Amino acid sequence: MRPVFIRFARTIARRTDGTREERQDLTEELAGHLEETFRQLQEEGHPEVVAESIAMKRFGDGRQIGRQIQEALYPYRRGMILTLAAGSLLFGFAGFYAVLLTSWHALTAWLVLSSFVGSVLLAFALDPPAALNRRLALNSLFIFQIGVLLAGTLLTADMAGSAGGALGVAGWLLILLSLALIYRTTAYDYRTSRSKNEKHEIAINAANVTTGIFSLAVSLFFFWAALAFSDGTDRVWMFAFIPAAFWGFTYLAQAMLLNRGRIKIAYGITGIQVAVIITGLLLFFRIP
Amino acid sequence: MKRPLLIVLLLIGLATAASAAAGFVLQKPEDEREEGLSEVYDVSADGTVAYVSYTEGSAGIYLLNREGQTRGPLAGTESDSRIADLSFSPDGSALFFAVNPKDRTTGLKSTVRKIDLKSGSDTGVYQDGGLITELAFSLDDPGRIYFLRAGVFENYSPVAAAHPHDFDVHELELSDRSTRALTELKAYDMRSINIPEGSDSVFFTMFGEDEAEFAEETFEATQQIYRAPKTAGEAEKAGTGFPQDVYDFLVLPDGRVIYQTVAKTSNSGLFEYELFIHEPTGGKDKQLTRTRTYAGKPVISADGQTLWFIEDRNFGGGRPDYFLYRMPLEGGAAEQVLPAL
Repeated sequence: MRPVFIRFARTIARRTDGTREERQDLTEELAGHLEETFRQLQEEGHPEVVAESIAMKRFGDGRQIGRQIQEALYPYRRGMILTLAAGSLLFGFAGFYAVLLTSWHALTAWLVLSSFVGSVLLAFALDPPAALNRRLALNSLFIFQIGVLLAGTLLTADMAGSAGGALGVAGWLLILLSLALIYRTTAYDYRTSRSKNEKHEIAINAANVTTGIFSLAVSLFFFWAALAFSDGTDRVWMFAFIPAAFWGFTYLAQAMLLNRGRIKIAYGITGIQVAVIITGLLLFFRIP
Repeated sequence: MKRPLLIVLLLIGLATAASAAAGFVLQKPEDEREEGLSEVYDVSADGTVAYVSYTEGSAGIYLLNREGQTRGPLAGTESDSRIADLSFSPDGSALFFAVNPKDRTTGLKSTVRKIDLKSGSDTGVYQDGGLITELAFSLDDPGRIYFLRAGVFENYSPVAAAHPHDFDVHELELSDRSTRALTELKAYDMRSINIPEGSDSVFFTMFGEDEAEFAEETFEATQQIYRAPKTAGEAEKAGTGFPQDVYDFLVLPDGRVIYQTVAKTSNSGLFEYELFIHEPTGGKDKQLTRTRTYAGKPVISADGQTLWFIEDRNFGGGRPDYFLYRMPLEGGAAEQVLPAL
């Protein structure tokens, strides 16, 4: 196959979120179509360089095609990210001015953070960068965005009247949308080169997003409680991160086990995670 | 990156920069943000209300007479200070009020000042190196002011806000401006000082002595009504004729007690504080207010017929939103007095 077509096809494939193998397959398929058009053009009497150029021109704009394939592979995801980006930007400005004009307090640092994360999400939705590991980058952005939204929701919750309530509802809806996108990116849209393990990896990833939310929430609660009820000189607060660390290590262990095909043990660890959470909840709420 | 996206990102950046600049211009220092009616007020024997209202952080004392006419400010503070409490003298000829700094982290001090309501003069009466949070007269003894004083302003943990602690009850002799501690409790918290007519004790609430040895135990501890003899001596629980788990209260001359406690929890998980009346002879306590937010600071009229109280409609939020109401003590609808409708 002609290198120029491979390069052209690769720029399209890099705009999709598939695995390396899937992108390779897509590259070869697209390059094959280009090659076929090129041959037809040559048969019509076009010189080689002209036929190459016309074949690529007929194929269309690489970015546009990449985006269309991405949309076909992951329907509505771009729309969801666009909604989150636009909603977060609006929430940021509305929250900033609502607090400024009622409490005369400028949440400048929070607004800058909110605008920054919203802008990066907007750029991801409208013109996704091809060079990044997009799944990792997007998940990191969604998690960061949840932190920014949570801070904004809490900062605007103190406002008197209906503005505070409306912003609170908007904030929590955007947090839910971010969580939905994390689930989607981590589990629903998940692709792996180990096709026989794919459904297990999806199930374990989905379970880990859920247990991760619980573990991080518990850690943050204990961290707050440790600070609230100590004089700050001891290091009791470090114990608060045990749930988050436990979750992190067990998730890592599951990933390694799945790599080695030890599926049952990986599921067993999910069982342990769930059992620990249920036991913790029963103990915390003192249910006999 | 495509040109339209670049333009959009540039516009977002410009809007953020413009908003940050607007924030820098419009925001006010913390001291100047307090606005409107506060929870500090008192009612004189003739039904005149003295209340504190803030304008751009500066406190002003105003009078509202029975005809609904407002006068003031009679006195005020700069935006760096707050009026913690005020009280009419028993004959209604003067107002005494306690002023604290808003920033208590750099040191504590309080001033008690007096407004002569005939001449309008505002004079300093007493200065203290602690934090005077509440003051009250005894109707039997117009020459003395009783007050709650905190010795320190500390946070007991890194994420908890600092609060006044080490409370005790003191008296100020107005003739020679001398003070005397009536208790030596160094209490974690102390509120709601009141001296019923004819009583030999000063009443207040604080956490049960045995219950809250450590800060974390305050969640489980309950606030109880205590009494300290005016002549000084051991403070003790007010007794079985008084309600339990009380935050704010007022002992009426006939022995009944109006008290504030949690009526229920709202749908959003916030406690709803309401005022109740307790009969010392027994019987079921009667709920007086139904604000479904926060009702407190009860004051009774001289004839014992009218109850005044404060509602905070933004209770649980950042800045309180206070309203003053009055209602017939024996039942009836509450009428909003301030801000005037």
